[in-house]
Amino acid sequence: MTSTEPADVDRRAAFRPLSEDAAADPPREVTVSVDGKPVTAVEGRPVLEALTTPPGEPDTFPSVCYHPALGPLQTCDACLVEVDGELVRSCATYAEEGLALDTEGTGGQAASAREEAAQRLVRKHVLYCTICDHNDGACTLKKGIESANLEFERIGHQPKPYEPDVSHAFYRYDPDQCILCGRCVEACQDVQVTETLSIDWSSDDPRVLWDGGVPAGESSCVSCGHCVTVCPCNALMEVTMLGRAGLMTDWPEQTREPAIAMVKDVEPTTGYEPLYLLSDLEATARMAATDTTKTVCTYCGVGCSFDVLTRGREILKIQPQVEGPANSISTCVKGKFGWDHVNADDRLTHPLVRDGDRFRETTWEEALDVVARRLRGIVDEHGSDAIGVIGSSKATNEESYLTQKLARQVIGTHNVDNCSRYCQAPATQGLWRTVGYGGDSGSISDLERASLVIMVGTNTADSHPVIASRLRRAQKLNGQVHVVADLRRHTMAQRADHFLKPAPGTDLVWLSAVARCVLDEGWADEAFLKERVSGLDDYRASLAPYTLEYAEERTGIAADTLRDLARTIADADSVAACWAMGVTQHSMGSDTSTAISNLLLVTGNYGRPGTGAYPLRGHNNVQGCSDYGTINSFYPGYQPVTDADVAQKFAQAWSLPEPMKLEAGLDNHGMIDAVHEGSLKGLVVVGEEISLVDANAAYVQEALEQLDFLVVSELFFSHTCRYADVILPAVSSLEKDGTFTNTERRIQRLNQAMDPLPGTRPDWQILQGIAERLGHVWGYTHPRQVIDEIAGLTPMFAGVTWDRLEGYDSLQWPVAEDGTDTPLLYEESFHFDDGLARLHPLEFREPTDAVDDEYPLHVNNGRVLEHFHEGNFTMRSEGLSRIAPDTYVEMSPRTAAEYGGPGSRGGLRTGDWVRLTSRRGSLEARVLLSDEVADGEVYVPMQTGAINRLTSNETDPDSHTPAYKELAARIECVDGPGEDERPGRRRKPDRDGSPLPRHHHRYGSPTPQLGVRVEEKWARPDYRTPPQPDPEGATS
Amino acid sequence: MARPLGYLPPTPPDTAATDELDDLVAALHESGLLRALTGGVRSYPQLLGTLLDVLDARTVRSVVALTTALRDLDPDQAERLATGLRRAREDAATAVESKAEGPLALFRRMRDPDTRRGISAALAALAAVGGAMRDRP
Repeated sequence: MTSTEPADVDRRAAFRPLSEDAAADPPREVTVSVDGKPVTAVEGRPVLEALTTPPGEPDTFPSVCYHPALGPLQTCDACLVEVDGELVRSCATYAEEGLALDTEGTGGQAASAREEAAQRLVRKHVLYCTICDHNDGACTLKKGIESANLEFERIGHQPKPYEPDVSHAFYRYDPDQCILCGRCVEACQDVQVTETLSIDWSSDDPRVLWDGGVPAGESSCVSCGHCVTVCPCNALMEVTMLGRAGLMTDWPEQTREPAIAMVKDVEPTTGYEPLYLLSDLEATARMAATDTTKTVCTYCGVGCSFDVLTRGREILKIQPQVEGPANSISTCVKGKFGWDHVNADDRLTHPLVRDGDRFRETTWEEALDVVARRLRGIVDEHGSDAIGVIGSSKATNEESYLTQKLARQVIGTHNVDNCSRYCQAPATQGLWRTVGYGGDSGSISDLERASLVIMVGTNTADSHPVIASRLRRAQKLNGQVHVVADLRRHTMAQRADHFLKPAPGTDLVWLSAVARCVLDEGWADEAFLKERVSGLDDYRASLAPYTLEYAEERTGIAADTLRDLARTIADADSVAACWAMGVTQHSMGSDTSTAISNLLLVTGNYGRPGTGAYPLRGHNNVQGCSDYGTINSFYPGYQPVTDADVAQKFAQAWSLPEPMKLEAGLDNHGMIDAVHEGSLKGLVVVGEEISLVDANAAYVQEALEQLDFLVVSELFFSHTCRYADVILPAVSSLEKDGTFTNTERRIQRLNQAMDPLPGTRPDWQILQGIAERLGHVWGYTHPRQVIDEIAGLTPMFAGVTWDRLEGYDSLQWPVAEDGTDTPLLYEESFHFDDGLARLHPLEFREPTDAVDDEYPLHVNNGRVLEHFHEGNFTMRSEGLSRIAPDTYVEMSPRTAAEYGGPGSRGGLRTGDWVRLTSRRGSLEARVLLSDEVADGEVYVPMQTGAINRLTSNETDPDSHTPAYKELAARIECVDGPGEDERPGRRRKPDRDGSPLPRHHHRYGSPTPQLGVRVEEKWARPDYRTPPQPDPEGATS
Repeated sequence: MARPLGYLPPTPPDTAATDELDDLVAALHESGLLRALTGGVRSYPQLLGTLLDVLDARTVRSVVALTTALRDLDPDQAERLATGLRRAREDAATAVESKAEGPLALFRRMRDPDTRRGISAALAALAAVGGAMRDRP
């Protein structure tokens, strides 16, 4: 959508990244005059920010609709001032040297205008702050009208003819409290860019509309929570806050209504001042009983940070802040609302030991003694390498460090790995080969800045929702071009400027063909290649097979399309490439990742803002888990285990009698093979659902049955726990201190928001307890001591300290000792001895597990927005499960018609139960028909953990990552499933109907527009610019 | 060899109320109020005695009677009265700071309808009070 309205053009011109932007020009201070007094302001920023402290928040000067992350909306008129004798909105007046503001105005007209604006706000909103859930002492609306000097109501509240909308699982909209500021609309339209919310300014009684006028819970709303987060009052409130946040907000309606009425009757006598005071007192008391803690999201790798408001163990709400470096005000449905797992009824609260044919609850002392005794016994009998340790990408960096320390120092093995083996190792391999560091080469703000973004095999809108929002925003507001290559026409594909649908497993072919075309046509960045890259000749020679015609034949993408794409990429000022499991979980995952990086090198797209490679990390700390050494081939900070000096350094630090062997240990997949071979006897698993998430689950489960000893630390009795000998109850991310590293290499602190559930312990204490019983007394009393130890041993983290990560401060590795971090890599040189990037020749191989007559369907699998990974957390959320209650087999109507087979009544329909059978196993689920999946392919979301009954043992030879996405199956109709075998899950077998409810957001009808369209408000016949009074009966 | 086993954690007791109580006790302790309350409870008989010394049935009845009178007030009337009292206070302050008026000047004030209205209201109120006192058994 491209609008040429002047206001829309202005909005585009003002585009800037929302995430922390190291490439932004440093703010330049100027002096403006406010009522004759000099005031410091930031040049080019709304001058309103200089009138309020903190910027954009009302204190002594009113500001209601303005939000620093949203920009000037100009709907409330509460910030009017006079400049050169004219009334202007200070939110839309930009600071420049010498600008003179008169806040009183000629004859006091500016002050009167603000008071009139405040009167209009309370015309739309009943002030009952003392018993309002939003009265946290920082209510924007309350502070706004208070600082506009509203003392008595002149107009009075005029109710709207609408009932509150309580249809949504996570929030409630009350039109009678809505001031029509449009913050929610702006956030939905131009930050989240789901484009669900709008205000119909032509209505007699305007209100916020979902999809133009359907209940919120039946709309295209994806529950990201932006609207609730930015609402300046209680019009949009989290359900978890309602009746819970205040000291008196749980009054029943029959008490509440008369109380409000009484206060409203008193107000003409008392004025608002005593009421403001009363509500301030209540807010002070309320917040004294409420804890606000900054934490980092436990779900994907975007690394959203936010405040969590708690009262004891009760989670009131998640409130992101502008200061959040990765996400600012943004969240997705999981981060904003998906925290039920923390207080789930089936949290483990006692250690369990296997006792005959049952698990027995026991003490921590006995459980840790058993662990130590059994591990020591295995080491004594079979050697250190008979034990493996699997870390958790959900755990903190400090816990990751201690996981590998337990393996290496205490047990004496390099058999230590984490789930990046299942997902991100190929991307890391591709980057190690070509540019040197195995991480995103820039920041999320670089993705925002890019002229063109290539997305390959990434379902970003579901898997990394906040990054997807940033990209959609850049596309909408800044003309960013999106190239999406995927098997499915998912959300990002539907909005793409160029959508490519390659044959499964052939991304390397089209990427290499495009790279060859760029070189052949002379469109390459020759200067960049000459000055900063090596290996061009060999690489060029390796591209010989990749003609556009061959690419068309093998991938199905037309040669002309690829040629045009080559030109488009080469012509773009800055190109960034994102990829994820659709690339890495293939037998050519490393090579395809390499091909992406090669293309970026050929076109000179590294080392500048807006460029680079972004393998989007899937788990909150999957980047950090490897960074901090939970990987079989590296000590922390990617110091090779094969380096004698490194081994000596760690041996000395850890008081080992001699350096460890200079040979990599077993990775996850290798450990399972070793169990089958009989050489691995014991396994320590830190919160990893290995029996469901590793490929070929039956093979993994057989291995777990063969182990002599398995200890698992977990929040819940997971599927893997079934095979354990000892289970240790761990804590959630809200119950501990530590740090996570997100996809952009950003290290952030999470702070304990509540005490651990009685009986549970954080993993760093669990690991320390095991180590102590095995003779190594670590003596840590807080994770900050672990951070200090890491910094002393790891050049990459030399400058990382607990104190440097205070509040919303963060550091992007590598971090120098003085604390200087690196938001953008490769500005000067690449991470090789000669400083040059390396083009890496590649050779295509056919994917494994190909379709044939017996198994004719290609099976794709991945996440959906509402659920994370196998669903151990998110399936415990009633709200999330209400939106996406189950997995399903998604296919096109043509596939359904063709592969229905016997019993399908002439073709499969949505809701039919089917069995999907691969060469390894089968699963049963309901059919979902859609146009997102190509003919001859099906898509199975992974949230019930069933998909790996089908996947194979095939791996990428360079990273040993399973080829989850190379999977063939056949389909047949069945009657339906038996009981859901997983305790604690909210999923209940539902034999009838669609696997997705009719109210699912994919069935909604968004209403795209730019912003809140305040011009339409101004054009209403009942609008007058303050201080002129609106005509009687005005409603906007 | 580990045969897979199941386990269903027992349903945890609902400790929300006791948690909140613990929180209240902690807050009372941290604020010092708990110590004050403890002292109050321990000295309860003495405190009660002291209270009874200053409180008798007459005082209680007087408070109740005055409260009843306040409840019967019409808020609009009360507001007019309060406004009048506020203005009276301001005018009285001004008058005190001015030179004392002579008898003639005071008499001339009787021509002012507001003055007459005020005197009437005051006399009516005094008459009502007097009547109520007379009626008392």
